[in-house]
Amino acid sequence: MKEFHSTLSRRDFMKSLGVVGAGLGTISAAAPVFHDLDEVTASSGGVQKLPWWVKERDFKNPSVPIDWQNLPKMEGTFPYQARPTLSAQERYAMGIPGGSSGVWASPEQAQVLFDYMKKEFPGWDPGYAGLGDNRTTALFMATKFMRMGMWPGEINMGGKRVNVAQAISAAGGTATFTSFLGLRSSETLRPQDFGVPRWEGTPEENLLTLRQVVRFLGGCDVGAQEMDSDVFKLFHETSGGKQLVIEDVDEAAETATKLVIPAKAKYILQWTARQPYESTRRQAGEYEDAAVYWSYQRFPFVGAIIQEFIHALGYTAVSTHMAGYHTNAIATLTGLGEHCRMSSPTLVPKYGTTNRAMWVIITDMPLMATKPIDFGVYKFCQTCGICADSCPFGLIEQGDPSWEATQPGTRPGFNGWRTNTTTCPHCPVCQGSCPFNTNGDGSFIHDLVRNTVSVTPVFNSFFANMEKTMGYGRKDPRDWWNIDDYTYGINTSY
Amino acid sequence: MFWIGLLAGAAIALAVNWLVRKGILTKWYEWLLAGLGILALFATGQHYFSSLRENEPQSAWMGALIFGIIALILLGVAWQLSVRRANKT
Repeated sequence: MKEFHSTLSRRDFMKSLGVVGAGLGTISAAAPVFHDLDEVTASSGGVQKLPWWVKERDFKNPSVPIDWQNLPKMEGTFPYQARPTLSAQERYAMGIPGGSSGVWASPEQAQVLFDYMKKEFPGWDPGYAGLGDNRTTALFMATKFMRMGMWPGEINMGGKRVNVAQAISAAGGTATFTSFLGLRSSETLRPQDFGVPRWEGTPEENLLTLRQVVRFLGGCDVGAQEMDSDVFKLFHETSGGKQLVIEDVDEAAETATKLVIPAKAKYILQWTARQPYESTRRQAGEYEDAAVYWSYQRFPFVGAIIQEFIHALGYTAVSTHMAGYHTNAIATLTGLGEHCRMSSPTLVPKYGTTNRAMWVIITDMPLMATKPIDFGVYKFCQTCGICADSCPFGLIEQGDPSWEATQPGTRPGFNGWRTNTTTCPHCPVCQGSCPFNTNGDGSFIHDLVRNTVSVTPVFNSFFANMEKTMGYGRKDPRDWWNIDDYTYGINTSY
Repeated sequence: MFWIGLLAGAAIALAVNWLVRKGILTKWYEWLLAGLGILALFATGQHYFSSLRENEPQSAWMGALIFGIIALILLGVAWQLSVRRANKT
């Protein structure tokens, strides 16, 4: 102990303190400074909690170039391939299982997919319904109930078989519990019912309020925009066969032919909902699996409740729910993600293409607008192409983006990619293949790569190749039953 | 994270102490190489265990190999530079 001495002299110690202090001072001088909470919430990052490697762009100027002058409005009816006609039992008898309710693939497409899965996952078997082993099939079957907000067909009630959808139709109701005007339940009391003033917040506070509600109910994040004639182009002429119009009226209305948005309802709220991550990248068979259907079971209900909350607060909230607007295009404006090669989904910063969907509610509750974001995806997709290579049917476009309507049912007017949805059987492959997919548990290199991609495209090819070399992407569906997955399959701490 | 930092700090302090006791002189670039090597070692560990946690075993092994080799090279070079200079004098 008497031989112990420090290698650091007092002079050197004080010098180090000074250097560290100067360094900290430099960093804090260079860092963004918010003088108060209003400034924090005024920047979109304050509401949307964007990762540090995401940059913002000007309003209506997303990373995908849009020619607003020439962008057409869509009619609202889109071509899709016909559903299979043979029953699941008939398909099983013919040796190409599949065709249970809700699926899209023809027997020929199903066979292509089975061959693809067997090559991807040696030993994989399509099972009796073309969806994989018994457990996976049973989970898919169970998650079909009330998907998309649809009333069920025949179910058991008190020991009797009752066709709920038919009964509701006979009573004058519609196929789904979601509706344009919202639930407006007789149990929902509003401030107006008591003659008391409704909640009035600043646009920032209102958006923060809705974000809190969205997340409480199981959604993920929010974005908002003010509706102008350009943004309204991204809503369709019709929804569910009715004209979607804006009129100078006090109250929203739904008639036999029209869905009327009052002009005062000039704010759009868009909210996102994540899909269970591990099961998403383990989908296999002739159709997307329970990860998708469970999301479509939950989220129409969540959307109806968000709409009911805004109504209960005393405001107008209308929504065409699953139809009536072009979700992904709107998402590029509200800062929820970027347009990508896969084109059907929006690519979101933290979760890639594993966000299930984004829904839009139109309201008169003033909302702070959130800016488009840029984290290098549009450029990355130009050199990557992993999703296009992985599509068993070649329906995701290879090559450069285009201004033209290169696929049936698509629109010109933006320099992007378009998928041929007329022959897409909604197979399980592309969604889990994107290199941007993460769930938050992983290596530091994910953030390092995404920050680099956000700043420079120089390493994009290298990163796309490393994605394949390191074995990222889709995983064996049979493994899912053994992993320690999150509740709802979602890491909500990320 | 706290315990890893504590153990790493203790190991580095012991190594520095050992160098001083042995009277081995070091140059600034040897410290730089050693520092980068230690960072590469942390990268190896973080990548390996977190990749396993995100159910990516292939990435875990490949990344551990890449970062591990980098760490070994950097630490090896830093160590050898000091030791060979000490043996020469």
